Amino acid sequence: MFDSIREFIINSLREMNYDVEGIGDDTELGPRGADVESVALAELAIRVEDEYGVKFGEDEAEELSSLTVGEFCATVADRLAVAKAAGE
Amino acid sequence: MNIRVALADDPELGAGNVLMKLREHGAAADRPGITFDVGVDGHPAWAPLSFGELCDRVAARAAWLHQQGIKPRDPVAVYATSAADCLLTFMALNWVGAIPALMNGNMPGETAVEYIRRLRATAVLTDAAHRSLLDGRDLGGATVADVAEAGTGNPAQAPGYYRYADDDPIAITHSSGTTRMPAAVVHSHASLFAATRQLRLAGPRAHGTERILSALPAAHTAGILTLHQALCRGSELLFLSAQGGPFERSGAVVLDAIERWHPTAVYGFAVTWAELARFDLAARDMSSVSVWFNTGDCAHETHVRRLVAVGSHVTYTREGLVSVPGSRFIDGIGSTEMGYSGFRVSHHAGSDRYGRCVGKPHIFAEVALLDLDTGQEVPTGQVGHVGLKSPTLALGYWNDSVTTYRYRYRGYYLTGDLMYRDSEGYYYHVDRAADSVDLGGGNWLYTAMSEERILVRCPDVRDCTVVAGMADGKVVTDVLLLLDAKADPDADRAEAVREALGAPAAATLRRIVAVPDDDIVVGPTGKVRKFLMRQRHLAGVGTP
Repeated sequence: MFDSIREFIINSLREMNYDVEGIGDDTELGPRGADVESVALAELAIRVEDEYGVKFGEDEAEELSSLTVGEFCATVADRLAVAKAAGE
Repeated sequence: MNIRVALADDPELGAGNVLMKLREHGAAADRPGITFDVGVDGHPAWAPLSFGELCDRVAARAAWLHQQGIKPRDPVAVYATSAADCLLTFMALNWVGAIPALMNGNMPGETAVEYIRRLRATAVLTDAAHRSLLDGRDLGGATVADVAEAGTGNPAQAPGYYRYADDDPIAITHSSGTTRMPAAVVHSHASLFAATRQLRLAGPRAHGTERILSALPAAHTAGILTLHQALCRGSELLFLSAQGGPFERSGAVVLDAIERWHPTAVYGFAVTWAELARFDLAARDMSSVSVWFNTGDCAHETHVRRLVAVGSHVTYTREGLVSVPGSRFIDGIGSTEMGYSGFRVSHHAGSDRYGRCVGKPHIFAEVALLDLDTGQEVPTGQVGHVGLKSPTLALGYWNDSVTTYRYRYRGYYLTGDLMYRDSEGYYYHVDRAADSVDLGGGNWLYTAMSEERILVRCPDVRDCTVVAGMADGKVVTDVLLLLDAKADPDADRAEAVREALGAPAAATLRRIVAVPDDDIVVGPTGKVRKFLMRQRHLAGVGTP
């Protein structure tokens, strides 16, 4: 699951015109890494929500922007697992 | 490399050397510096100083200070009204390694004399208006000089920039002074830059902060933080002096400045939003504003809703990047001692998270709501004392270890605030601990939360203050209302106020009274001095 989430996120960033060359789990979403702007982060959150049904609140932007790609994928995977457990 | 990344990765960068580090990392001379609403060194008011010009003006002051014999680690007080005098001198004192002690120009003369004495300051730099308050007074040996004269130095003769370590003190700012002599709070090179590093340099580029109008007090922690953030981000910054002047006229000054300068962001303390509530914002040109930023006390819902109704902001929706009507209001409760906002919540026209919700802690902050009797954290939904761990925390109180250690508790700094947390992890500020009153039987009167509820229930009340305390062995509560210009002063608001207070507190209600503005005693930053208000009103028990 983690691998497919990572692939989805990197593809999304590519579609959003970010340079994804060399982006991996340790790449920060902030300026040291992918350098995702705040509104682009909102776009990424909406793409993830549409794909996986996992929602990120407006007040989580600061926390999300401090994550690496790997940490972001793990957060999505965790929420998916919680949502699945709640649905069972 | 992106200069923001270079700055974020520079371990020597801190609050004491922002100018020097920007230059070292190649900041262009034509990058934005700062704009003041007053003239300085022959440079006209409202004309922007580029980054290069700003460095030049600061270097001139550094040269002058050096020439005057100001040495590294000398505490030097700055007591002036102009934001230019305050901030340029601040940076110059950092340049030479002295410790700037910024004083709000609204601080009364008597208080200022005692404050300077307690600082054990080497020198005081002041303007003509304040000089007469200090002349002939015992300042504990501090010499007094004209702050404007500092600008006459020759920039080419500035000494080398002082080299700071992380825990070196780089600024002394004071609390609002609402209960006592303003407390002198000392910040370090690392602490006063920790939030800027994590949020503004290592965080994503944010929309809406391209042009910042600051109605914050320059002489306070929030003023320094705003200066550093704007410089590091390359934002344009207009700094108004004295929060726009005397508070009852400051709303008009801020609105005029918005229409003249077209900021995308407006920064202020709660008093600014309360003053803007005097005006019909729809009748003014607020179209440039994308975001309002509040720090200090939590802002009131009724004031916030008026602000988010005007302007516009850019957001991402399923239709793509769009500009939507209405601005955003970012509320960040904080204090001098906290060294930055501890929490953050964002409001906009469609949002509805109010009731003194302060949002969630910043990523660098660790918060515990504590029961001080047991030392344990209180359960969700229960009110506790805010304990904070944060790299932004001030070192302590200058020349006052007793007070420094009094507010430390099990590794936390006790902010003096009372909050509860809901099941989603959002925090709500109910009151300052010192202002809350135990009503017995597990009931408490929270004055700040009561004010919030009164304002929501009484739309023609512009602001209000709830004053409560013990008098003759019982709790009495006075509700003081500041009315809208068009409000009926004789309207019966008793039912709405009682409902806002809730039954246990309503039982202590003595009177509800519409008061003129000058009946509310405020400190230098516009914060209500509840301690004095309590003394004044409780002394009047029994009188109508």
